[in-house]
Amino acid sequence: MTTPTPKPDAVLGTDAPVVTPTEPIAALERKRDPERSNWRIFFEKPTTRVFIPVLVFFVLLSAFGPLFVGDPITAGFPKLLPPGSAEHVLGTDHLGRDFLARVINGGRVSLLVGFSVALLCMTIGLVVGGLAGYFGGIIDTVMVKVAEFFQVLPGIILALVIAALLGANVVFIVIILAITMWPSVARIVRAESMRVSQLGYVESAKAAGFRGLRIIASDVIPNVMPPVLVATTMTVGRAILIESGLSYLGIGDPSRPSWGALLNSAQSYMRDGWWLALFPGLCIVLVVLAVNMLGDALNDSFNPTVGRVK
Amino acid sequence: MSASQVAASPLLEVSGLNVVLPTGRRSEVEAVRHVDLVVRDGERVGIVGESGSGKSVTGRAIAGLLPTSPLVRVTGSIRFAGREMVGAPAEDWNAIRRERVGMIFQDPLTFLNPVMRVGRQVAESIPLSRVGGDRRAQLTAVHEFLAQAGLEKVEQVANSFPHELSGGMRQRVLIAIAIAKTPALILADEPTTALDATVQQRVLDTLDRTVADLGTAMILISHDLAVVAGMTDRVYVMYAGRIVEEGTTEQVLQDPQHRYTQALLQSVHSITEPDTELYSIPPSLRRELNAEADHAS
Amino acid sequence: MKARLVYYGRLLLSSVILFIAVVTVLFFLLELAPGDSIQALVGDVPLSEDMRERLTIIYGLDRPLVERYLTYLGNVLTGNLGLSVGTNNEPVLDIIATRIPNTLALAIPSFLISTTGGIILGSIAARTRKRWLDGGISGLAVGLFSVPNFWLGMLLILLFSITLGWLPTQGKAPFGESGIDPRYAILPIITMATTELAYKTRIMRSSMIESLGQDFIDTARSKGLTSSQVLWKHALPNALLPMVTISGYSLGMILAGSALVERVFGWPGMGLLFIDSIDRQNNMVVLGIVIVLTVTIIVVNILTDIVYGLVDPRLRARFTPKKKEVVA
Repeated sequence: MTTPTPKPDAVLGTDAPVVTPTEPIAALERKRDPERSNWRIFFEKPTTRVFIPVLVFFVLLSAFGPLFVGDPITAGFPKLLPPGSAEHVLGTDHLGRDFLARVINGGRVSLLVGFSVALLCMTIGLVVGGLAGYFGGIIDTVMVKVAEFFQVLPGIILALVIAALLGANVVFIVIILAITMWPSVARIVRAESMRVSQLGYVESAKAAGFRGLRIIASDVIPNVMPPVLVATTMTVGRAILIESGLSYLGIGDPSRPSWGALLNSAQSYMRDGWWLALFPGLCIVLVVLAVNMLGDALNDSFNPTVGRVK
Repeated sequence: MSASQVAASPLLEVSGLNVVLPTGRRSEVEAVRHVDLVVRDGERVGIVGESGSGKSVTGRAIAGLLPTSPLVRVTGSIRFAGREMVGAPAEDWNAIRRERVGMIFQDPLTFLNPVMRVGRQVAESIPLSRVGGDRRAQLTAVHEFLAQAGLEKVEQVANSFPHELSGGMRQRVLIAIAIAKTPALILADEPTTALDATVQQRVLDTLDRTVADLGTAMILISHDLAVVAGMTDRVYVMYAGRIVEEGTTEQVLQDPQHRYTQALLQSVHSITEPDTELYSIPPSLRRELNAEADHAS
Repeated sequence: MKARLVYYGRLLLSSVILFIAVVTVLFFLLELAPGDSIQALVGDVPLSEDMRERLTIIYGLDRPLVERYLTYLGNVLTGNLGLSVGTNNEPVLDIIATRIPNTLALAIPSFLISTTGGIILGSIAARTRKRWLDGGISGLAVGLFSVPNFWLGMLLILLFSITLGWLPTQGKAPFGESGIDPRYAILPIITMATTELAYKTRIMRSSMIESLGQDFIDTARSKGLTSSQVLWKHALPNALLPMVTISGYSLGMILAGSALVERVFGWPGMGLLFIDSIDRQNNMVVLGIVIVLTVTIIVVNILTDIVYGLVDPRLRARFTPKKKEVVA
């Protein structure tokens, strides 16, 4: 058989608009609504609309609140005043300190830790995970081993030991938490970057001569971002929860108590000071819930599960 | 209905079938457009078309196996022995599927439950009531149907899990599952596409034989004209959700009337005949056909 | 058979290596502790010269680093976790051993409750058509997942013990009694189980949804099976597999979180011992507990692997060669 020379007509695509030739049906696809970008979908969800304000509220409260409330540190009178009075909206604690001030200042620490850890995890995760997914080999193995290590020695335990032996301060806690939590972000980055590197345009970028790092930066990372954002968002929640656990157990800077530390003091006064236990915990729940719901909403906006429900 | 009318009532009568499927968060496609088809007892009918032509969707609609999302819309009429099934409640569909319609799917690996033994999966097609409530009779029946589907050492096979069998064997299990309910109609959706070329013909032969032995009607859905040519009496050609041509298999293959069928045959011939230039369906033809399809809906 | 030995041999080897890595990290953390290393071992118990000398000899503190490390490692591997200096020189392992049953008395019921509850709720949420039910269960799961479980414990105490007076607040049994009084265990178990319950509900739900989307569900439906039959016989067994995988991780989380819960309720288990020892800088005990925890988690992981290998028929056969083709 002689090698056929395809006529222009027969080479699909040369004289026609690109319609995936094996899907005549797809050409007739009708959109029920004009296609919206995933970000628009995200911002139009009712969940998002409820919880972004919640998160923003707490961030602003922690950032600027301390300027407007009283002194959270100096002891005073009256002690253990229940909430509801004009002077002390949330009452006072066992040392007579205004509880609203304590809570708002506590928020600063909790949120700072949460966001710092998440950002660190995202950075480390992107770098290591991206390299592991793209190059594979040793980096990959190392990553897996580190993840295994922290599964066997849970982060919270390691943080407790380190804090016990070496003393505790906020920076330490942030670093320790970041070290124990980055593998879960990196795993996602790795999976996504492996998936992306299978796609066609990475191959063509390689063929065009772009080197590894350039490809990673311009092609892999933008595609990897949505699931990474989701994972980072969830990390904020987890970090806040772990930090609150640590400070509840007494690990932390006594002069800058986080919400967990407030709960630590509240433990001994549950009978006479129920509000000391209620409000810090409530704040933790609201922030973590907001962050988790937003993470779910992000996840839903960027990879929805369509149709195939049987 | 008079006796002659009842007798004349075909096994399956589809008219004006329309199926709309969701294809994304906010988009949908009319996958099947005004399809009419008829199958009589014992008849063998083929539905041929490229992927995306709507042939599989049509098959699933007939078996009632479309996704159950509320975004899926089915309109028109599907009658089994005169009984209207579109809009019928789930119990009716389940009854039809239990006794009258069997379906053979494309990829036997994913279409068999990986954690359930094969014999048990076949047994599910054989209700105990049919074998007098006796489990051993049911097991015997399972072995019989596996044998009829061309498998040897049926006890061993029945005891195995799907991943322990080869592709050809798994497809035969799917055949056994379909025939075990002694249906009036078998729908085979691309039954050999996922198999090795060497195994395909043998499985097709088995399918051919079992259908002949049981006297069931068959709808064979395939993109492969050769497969359909050898096994069907009549054929429907589909493109973009519409039936563009129908007739006896011989007629349609020797003397196609519609330009699409002609183009399809030409491209097949260009592969099988030596010294012919490779022919693909030109985009211009597709645009025409797409426009027609759009208009018609 | 040989393949099986190789596989489990490798698993065991990597587990041992992991364990050694943990012990090494702990050892070097101990080394890094500021101040006097003997004091670090002993905590805030004052030392006489005599004690100092004896401890120096016992722990070989005048030996070079590597030798000390190897001695420590050797000790650990043979079950010698050192002595708790603060309390009559009892062996650390013995002290821990008395406390473990208390923690397990909470951990095991929590594990069972969270697993069963997660399977049931997750399945319901995945399968139901009623959006409010799915939304409700999923919402509850996210909500509980966002609550620090020790705070939940405090709330439960506030509600049931302090306000309503139904249940006691602290301890595991009335004062002076040994053994465990169930009334005392209720709130701690609920507290411990909650976060895990939420987590498992989410996992089960998505696992079930994925299972229901598989092709073999089509085959099951094509046999005319009712949707209940399809769910129970086909979807559920497949959906349960990931639950097995995470159960090892879950038990580890429960044990790690026991420190928090035990503190809230004053429950004398391993977790409370851990915290007390940290407070008193009784570091041998601290390390001892971490080591015991690590070993437990490693063992649970290996068991999970074995169980999963038995439960998934695709893996059951991974050690046997593929069956010969039996073709007609």
